[in-house]
Amino acid sequence: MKTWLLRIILVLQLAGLIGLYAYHLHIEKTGKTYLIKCQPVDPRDLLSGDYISLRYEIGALPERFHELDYNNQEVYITLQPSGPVWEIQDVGKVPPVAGMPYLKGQGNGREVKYGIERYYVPEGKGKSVPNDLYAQIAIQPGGIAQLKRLYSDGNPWPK
Amino acid sequence: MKPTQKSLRPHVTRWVQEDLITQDQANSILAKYPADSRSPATVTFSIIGGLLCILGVILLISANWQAIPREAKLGGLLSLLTASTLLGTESSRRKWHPAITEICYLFAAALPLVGLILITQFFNLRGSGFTLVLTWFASILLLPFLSSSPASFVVWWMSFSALIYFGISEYHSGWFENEARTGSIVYALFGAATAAASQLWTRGGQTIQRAWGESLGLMTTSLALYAYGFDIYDPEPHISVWEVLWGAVFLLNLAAVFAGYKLHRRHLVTLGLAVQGITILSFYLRLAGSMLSTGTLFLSAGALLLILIFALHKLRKTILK
Repeated sequence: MKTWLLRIILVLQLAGLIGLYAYHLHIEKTGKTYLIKCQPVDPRDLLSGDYISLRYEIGALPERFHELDYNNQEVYITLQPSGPVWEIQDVGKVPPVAGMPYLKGQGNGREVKYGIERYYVPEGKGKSVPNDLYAQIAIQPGGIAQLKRLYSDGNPWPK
Repeated sequence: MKPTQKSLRPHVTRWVQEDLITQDQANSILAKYPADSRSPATVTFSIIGGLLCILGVILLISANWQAIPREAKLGGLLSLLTASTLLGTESSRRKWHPAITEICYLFAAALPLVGLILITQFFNLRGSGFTLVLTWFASILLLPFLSSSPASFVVWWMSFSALIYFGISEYHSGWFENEARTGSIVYALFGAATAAASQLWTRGGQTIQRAWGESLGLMTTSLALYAYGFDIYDPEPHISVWEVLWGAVFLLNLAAVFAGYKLHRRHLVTLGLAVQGITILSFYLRLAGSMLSTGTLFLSAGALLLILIFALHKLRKTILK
């Protein structure tokens, strides 16, 4: 009986991990993508492999918006196109009804984090990172961002 | 090299031929020794060779990590997860060596977390740590109770403990003034709850799990009370209640030693005395730290430590006799 229950748990674990992978793969392959300007900060992590930390242009609220509370407040950032890239159009505590794409983030003062501030790169590639980076992101339902690829000078980075 | 039947046989045969011993005596002598054994050099080089092979595989995989397709990485991990669970159940059913069962269940409990981290790495996700650990905890929720494996219970407890940490830091950091104090109070209660709930293992005759639960609970509560008010980001030199809290840690562990003596639980005696020793030394350092020069403090603290180790070791032996 216990053996069967353990096997059922194993099947559920496998199904869960495969499902999670398939879900993110589906978003990555089929989701509409947006280009956001960003800068690299603080590269490398010894435990998780090489990655670069990113600071997004939409990660800092412009002066025209009120400062948010310092409690990781959930916020919804509506995006608008500005040339090839997208920038902040509006900030709200509830998702916008329809129209423009939006991202869910966590706000602290003027800083907003989207959960895409880390990009894994092949070993050794995180040491010399260009400053003019553009992140191609896909948006999951509910405004959850998924970082797909980085670009520099119009080419995918790292090559 | 140890003597074996193979190495002794020529000598024993000669002794029989020389009428020094009878054939029955010769057989009895040979029966006392193993049939054959590998030389220590063979065993040593086999271990070194095996370790080199394992290390080589690990290095090859890590050096080519980015070149390995995502599907292959995930497939490898899922295969390991499947193998560890199935091998664990099989090992438990066939009564193989307990270490094999425990290692398998240890992997079965830890690998779902590795899988989740791997997927976040594939897609460059960096979301809530609480959600990540919650998903892991949910995936192994029943594992220790169905497998009856102490190793999986310890991993399960660690995931629960991590869940509390992320819960406090992401959602309830301000319950008791700040995150550190909230953490201390919640962990003190969690430790006490762990030790109390571990008594339920007695019903199933799982005394190893009970011992782990009691030890982890006692350590968690002691550490939480001991560290209350200590905030690495906002150090406060004077905490008015530290004497009371450290005294409580001392008394709690005195109670643990007493309980260990009455209930014949060696781990409680050992752990309780060790924490008491640390508490006594901490009291001394805290009180004498501002009064003595560095050299005198080191000398007296070292002497006190040696005395404590010797005295507590003797005390432990007397209690457990």
